[in-house]
Amino acid sequence: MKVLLVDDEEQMVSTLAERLSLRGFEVSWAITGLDALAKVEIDTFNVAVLDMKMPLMSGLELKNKLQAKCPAMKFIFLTGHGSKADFKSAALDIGKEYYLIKPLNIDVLVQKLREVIAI
Amino acid sequence: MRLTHDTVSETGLQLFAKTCISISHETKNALAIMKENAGLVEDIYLIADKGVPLDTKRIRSIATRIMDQIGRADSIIDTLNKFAHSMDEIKQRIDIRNLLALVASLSERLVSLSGVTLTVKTDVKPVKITTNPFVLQNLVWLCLNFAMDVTGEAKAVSIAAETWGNGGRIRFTGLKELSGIPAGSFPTKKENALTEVLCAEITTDVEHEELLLILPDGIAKGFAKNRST
Repeated sequence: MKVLLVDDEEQMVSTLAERLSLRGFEVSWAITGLDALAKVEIDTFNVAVLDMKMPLMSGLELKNKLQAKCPAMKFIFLTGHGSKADFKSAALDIGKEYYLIKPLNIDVLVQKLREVIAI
Repeated sequence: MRLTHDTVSETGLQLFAKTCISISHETKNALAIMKENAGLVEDIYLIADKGVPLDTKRIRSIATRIMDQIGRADSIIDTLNKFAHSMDEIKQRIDIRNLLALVASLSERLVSLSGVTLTVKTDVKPVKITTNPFVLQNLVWLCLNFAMDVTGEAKAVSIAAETWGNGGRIRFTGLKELSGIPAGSFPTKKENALTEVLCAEITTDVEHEELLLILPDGIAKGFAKNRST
């Protein structure tokens, strides 16, 4: 399974990528929406894990752009506690999605990754 | 006067709330990174238990990352603490340079999310005035928000403190689209209420693409008395 991680916190996304790799996932990561869009031009991913709040392009904006390029891609959102309400409100427009709250539990993330792929 | 007090209180609470949101988000991010790195150490030890040699350099590098994030979280909490202490006394003798550094630190996340680069230019000499630091932080915050909206393609704002007459002056520069602002749209009721409390003045200079916040050495006696009772 190929996973694209996007979070503006480089240490967060690089460490998470390493931990998922150790669990058998093929992982690529980006720290901006533009980086992520460049990655999908040259590679194919099953799932994108997106931070909700990022400079210049939010996780939801990025999701819409990624989905336009890769209709089969599935999404999981990461959020701090403060943006959970924002996510629920925005999610009404885009349909049911998965979201996880930081700090993450790696086992829960792995479980959600497997769930979204099974859909 | 009542209207001014209500607007000042409301603006102050809004800044306080925004600061709490930003600080808690930043702290959560630092904690999330620490947790992932601690988790990675666990992962490495689990692998070592299966016979793979332990990479001590890797462990040291992860420990450094965790220490960096502890330092980051500590700095975030210090900033919040300084901000909260700005309410200790209604009137304080302050160095405007320090106040700008604090506002820049408090607004770091929100500035970054908007894609703007903020530079605080520090003068060598102190720029000291007696003022209400909490209200001044509010006013600087509002002016900064306005400035960030009119940077145009450059997306860069600089702020600097300088001595001006008996008081001080804060310059917000890089306001490339200042000329496109409709007349009367800035300052708004909020900025006007705060400038009244601080006996300050806001002016804009389209030619130099800057906003100037002129601050006297002292604040309205009546307001200081009313606020402290």
